[in-house]
Amino acid sequence: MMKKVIMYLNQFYGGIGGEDKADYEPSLLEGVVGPSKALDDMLTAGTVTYTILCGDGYMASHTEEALEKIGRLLEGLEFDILAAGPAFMSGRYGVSCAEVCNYVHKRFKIPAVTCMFEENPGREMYPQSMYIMAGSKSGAGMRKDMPKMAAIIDKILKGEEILWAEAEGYFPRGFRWQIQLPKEQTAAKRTVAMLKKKLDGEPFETELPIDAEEMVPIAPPRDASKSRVAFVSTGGLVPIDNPDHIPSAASTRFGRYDLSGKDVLKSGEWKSVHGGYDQTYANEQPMLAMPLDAIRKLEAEGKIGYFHPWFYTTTGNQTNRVNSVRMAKEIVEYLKADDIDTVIFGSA
Amino acid sequence: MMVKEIERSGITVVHVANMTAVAQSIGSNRILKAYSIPAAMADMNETPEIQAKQRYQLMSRALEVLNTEIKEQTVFQ
Repeated sequence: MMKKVIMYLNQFYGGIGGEDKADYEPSLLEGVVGPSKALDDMLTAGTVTYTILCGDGYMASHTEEALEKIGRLLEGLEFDILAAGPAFMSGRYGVSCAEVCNYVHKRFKIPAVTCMFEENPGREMYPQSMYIMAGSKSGAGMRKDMPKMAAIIDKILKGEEILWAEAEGYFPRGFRWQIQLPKEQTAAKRTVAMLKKKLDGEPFETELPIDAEEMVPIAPPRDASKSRVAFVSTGGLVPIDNPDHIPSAASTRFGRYDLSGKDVLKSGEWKSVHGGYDQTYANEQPMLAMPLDAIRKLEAEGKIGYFHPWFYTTTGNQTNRVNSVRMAKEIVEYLKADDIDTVIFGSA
Repeated sequence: MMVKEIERSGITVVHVANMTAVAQSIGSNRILKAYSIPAAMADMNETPEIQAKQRYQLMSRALEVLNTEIKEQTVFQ
């Protein structure tokens, strides 16, 4: 039996109109139009039953209302997956697709697939709520992008195994699982192969690409004996029962733990949940990750003027930019409330 | 990236990290080389007494780094 697909399009691709119709409120069309017809033609395991249409401007300026309205339109309908886009390099459309995919995925507990260019701001918003296929920069790439969406939607609908990001052509989602690579391509073998290529001056591809960073102004030097100091860490050290369920990788949250009255961190009371290194040492001696004894000594000697009583901790491995920035901002709010001007930051 | 966001707010940060190249690539300004990845704050092969001294020395050094004027990203040993 054919599975049911619902597709989200903006006012332009839905044939409502151009920028003058960007305020178009969400509506539900039975059947297909434009890209949803193209998708329907390509799918072998599913059929597009409805198309949701919404203006990019309306979604951008009334996001919550638009999402709730879409939720009401879909209530009671049977469907197995949501498709959206492709959005190319259109920022508003990409963000709309990401918002709708995230909302529908969470409300109706179904998978969602979209497609956009790598620099589209929609790409990094909710990477774990959807598959985002790596798409073209402009609408001229529709013919290339739509088959990518159709291919992964078919795989999902057939219940086939979805491989890792590079193998399927979607952007990494920040999930981590064990896979057996063909021909025993262990990390050691791949590293040596990469190193040989580098030494021979041949082109090679890193497995850990890191984007070029914009810099922030260098904060002024501070004399810690006259400063208010806090300790923040991405080393994954948490209380032994991990009360806040800090994940071992791709973290979305941090813990905040009271150090008042403590001079040391004891084995058996703390542990590391960091999935990126051997935790044995930190479990035996938590102060290998958070050197509270040294800090207390410096505090007693007057070399640290004031030490903030809370310790902030999360895991840094595979934690994406959006979550890193958000967590840091949330931590800064706590720090500012206690007039902290100096931070010692521990990581791997 | 978290280090950078904290520094953006005007807070002076010392990033104690073993992977200093990564710290540089993600925009940390004051970087202090740590002992190792699984044991940043002391040498995991040393005795508990020596580790305690190493932690104290590393944190003392971190305070010096915090009070050092820099013109660009700098890795301290």
